[in-house]
Amino acid sequence: MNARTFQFIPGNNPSMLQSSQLLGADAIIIDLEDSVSIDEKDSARKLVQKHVEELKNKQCMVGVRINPTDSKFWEDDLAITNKLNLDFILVPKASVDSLKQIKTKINKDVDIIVLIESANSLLDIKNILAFDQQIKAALFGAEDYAADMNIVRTSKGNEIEWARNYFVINCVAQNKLAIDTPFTDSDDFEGLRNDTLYVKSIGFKSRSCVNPRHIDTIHEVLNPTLEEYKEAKEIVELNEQFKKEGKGVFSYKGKMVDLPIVKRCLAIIDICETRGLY
Amino acid sequence: MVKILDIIKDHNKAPMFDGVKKIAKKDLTPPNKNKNAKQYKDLQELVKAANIKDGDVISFHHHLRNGDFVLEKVMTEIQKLGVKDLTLAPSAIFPTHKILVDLIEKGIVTKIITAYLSGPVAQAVSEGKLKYPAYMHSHGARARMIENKELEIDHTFIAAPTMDSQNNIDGTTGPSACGVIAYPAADAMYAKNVYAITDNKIDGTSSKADIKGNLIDGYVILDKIGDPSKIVSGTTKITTDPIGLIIAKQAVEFIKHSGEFKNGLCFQTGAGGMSLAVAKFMADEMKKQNIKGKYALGGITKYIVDMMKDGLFEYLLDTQCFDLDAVKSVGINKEHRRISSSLYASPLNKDAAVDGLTFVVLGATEIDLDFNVNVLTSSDGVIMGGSGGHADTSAGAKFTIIVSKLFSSRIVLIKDKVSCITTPGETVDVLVTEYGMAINPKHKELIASLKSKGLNIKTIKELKEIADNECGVPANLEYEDKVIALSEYRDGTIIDKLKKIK
Amino acid sequence: MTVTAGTLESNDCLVTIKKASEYKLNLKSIVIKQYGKHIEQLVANWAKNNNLVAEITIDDKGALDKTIIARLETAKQRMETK
Repeated sequence: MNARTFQFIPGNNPSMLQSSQLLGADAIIIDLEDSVSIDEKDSARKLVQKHVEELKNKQCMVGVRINPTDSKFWEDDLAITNKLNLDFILVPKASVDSLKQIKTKINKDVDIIVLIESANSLLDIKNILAFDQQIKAALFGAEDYAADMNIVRTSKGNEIEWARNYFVINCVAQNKLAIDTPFTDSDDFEGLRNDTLYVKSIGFKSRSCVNPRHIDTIHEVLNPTLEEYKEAKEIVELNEQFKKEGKGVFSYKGKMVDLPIVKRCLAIIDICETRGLY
Repeated sequence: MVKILDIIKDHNKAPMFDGVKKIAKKDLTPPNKNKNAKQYKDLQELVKAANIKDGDVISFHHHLRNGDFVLEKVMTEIQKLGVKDLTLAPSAIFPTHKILVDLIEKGIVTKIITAYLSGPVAQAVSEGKLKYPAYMHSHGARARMIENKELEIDHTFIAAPTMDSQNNIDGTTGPSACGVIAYPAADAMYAKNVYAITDNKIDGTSSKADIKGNLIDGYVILDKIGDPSKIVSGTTKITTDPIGLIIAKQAVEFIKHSGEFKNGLCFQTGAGGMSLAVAKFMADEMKKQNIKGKYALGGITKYIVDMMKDGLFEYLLDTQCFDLDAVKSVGINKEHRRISSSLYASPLNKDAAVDGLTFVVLGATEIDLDFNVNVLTSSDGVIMGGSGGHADTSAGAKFTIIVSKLFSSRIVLIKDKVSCITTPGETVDVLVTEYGMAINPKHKELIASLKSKGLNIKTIKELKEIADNECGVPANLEYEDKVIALSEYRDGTIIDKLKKIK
Repeated sequence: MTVTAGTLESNDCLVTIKKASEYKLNLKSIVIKQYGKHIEQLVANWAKNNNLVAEITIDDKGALDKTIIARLETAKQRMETK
């Protein structure tokens, strides 16, 4: 799974469902959980079903956030989503126990993204990610995490610094995509840029958003630069040559290049080419 | 020469549009006027002295927009005279002008000539209550018909935010300040009787005049000529709708790769949220590429003023101020210049500013497969606007860029046939929507070049099919036989006739 | 017995289904001129295919067919669970 942005779309909102493919995100998360009131869970489910069934001209990955296993809605949610052509299911309040229950009802061939949004789930992230091969990514939900911790969430994000680092390190260690939390301030584009630069520097390649106007800025920050793309192509080409000569490690511009570096270059090339960046 | 009133009385004899042709410029000299304005104690005295007769042509300007009191107050007095069959030629009509509905129903006003029609009066005209078809034209065309004597105005009433001791009128100061007063310049020069209505008569002389005092026959001082809160907007804002922003960004992508995005460019955009977003993204790109434009034109907003302050334009040519920042700027920035509607857009004026435009960004209610645009009616066929500067800027600009959603709340933009054509497709260069952009097929090389640069180019037919697939093909509107409005193209021909909706 | 589903937001519709002895549709729409007949057909077909005899009221703010059907089906489900 390789996507820079995951845009949340409220499931009971026809306007947003209709325009979701146009927003420019690499993936959309159609939400049946927090953005849908208890009385409207059935409405949202039916609306999402109809809109996804009739989706033509898919421009990005499409997934659904179902309700958590401690609610009375998750089984009906999966009964519908299992019939739809979706790229992933986002499981909120993910834990080893909740995933055990999910596994009994969910399609075997849809990807799962786990939502880490509490102190306990953060500490148990290693086991959660390792629980099943269907799990391909994790999303850090800082709002609910902060609520669980009883701390104040800020745009500067000092309060979640350790949590973010722990989260991304675990994801990388198990080769799962790490998706960062949405940025808090709708109109602070400078703050969004700085926050995204920070999370990029500690290893994130992806971030979720609630405000579609954030998508472009996030892409600008997370996109490999043209130089990085050119360099990645050179390294991959050199690697092919050296492999033929039986060399597994070689030197490029004074630095040592081994398999992990090559893998990183392939990921850079993939993002640039699948999204038509250069 | 064909007179506008004759066309209105018998539109079957009207010259019909036959393609966009080169319009010969004319050197027009206004009559020599050196009046000494007489003060009247109130409107009643003024109107009585004006000697208004049946069938007279009366005009107003719309710079006070929906905060205007003058039209209503003057027409109230005129109604008392017992005259009928009047022609009204206000440069635009807003909801606040609802007194006209009553006058139309009573046959006191039987003809309307204007560039923009909204509110209850638009509703009344749409219902066929006006005796003769409304004559809808562009801003530039209004200057043309007055200066070329196709329309002779008997009485013009000019709302004047400030009148100085020499009777010069200035729109940028006073409690009812509205900014530039461009539209009545032709009226003041050519009308038989010119009256000013002010709420701010000052001693001394103001430093700038929109209308010179020696053109004024008489004036009245009122307590208030308008409601400032409805004259100009406090602030105009760019759209926050993510789809609107995407369309605006795509419009700037087109501009960037058009081949004309370079020093000396001249630019105009509207005051709506999406149009202002285009201005913002254009400004960002001009700064990035170090491009300095020559002038920005049109209705001016804070965004355009800021572009000039940031050094992106040498000067501004202003025909009306849309917000308080623009009003303030005219007063203090030397390079924020006022121009009359003739200098703005008259097809006869060799110095018309629209002819120098590189890019103009406009909206549309409907557009057909030949790029013909409708800005007169809504999708329901009811009048709710008018050409304004649309046809003029489209004709003058190198690139006319229409920005619009392809569909919104199941109202689709692209039709096989629009309700009423205001701007001919030959003058429209590109339509930018959230589903891609359609470029007028006459730009073969540009289409190929932009496709190779990765822009989302579709044909207008493909865009229509996308909308029809999403929304379903809309049913055609049903009309009666009665013609309720004539859509004039700026060369004086009639490009379309609007019938009454069933 | 009456059930409703949907909202009056743009691109949505508010649907009300009331048990009745014969089928009737009360349609109010911002695009009645463009899609009125089409929506009448759509709803009549849906009611027939679902064997539903009821009085249906729709206040439409430009909803696409899939949204109208989704709201109708939700209302029908709510009626069944009551």
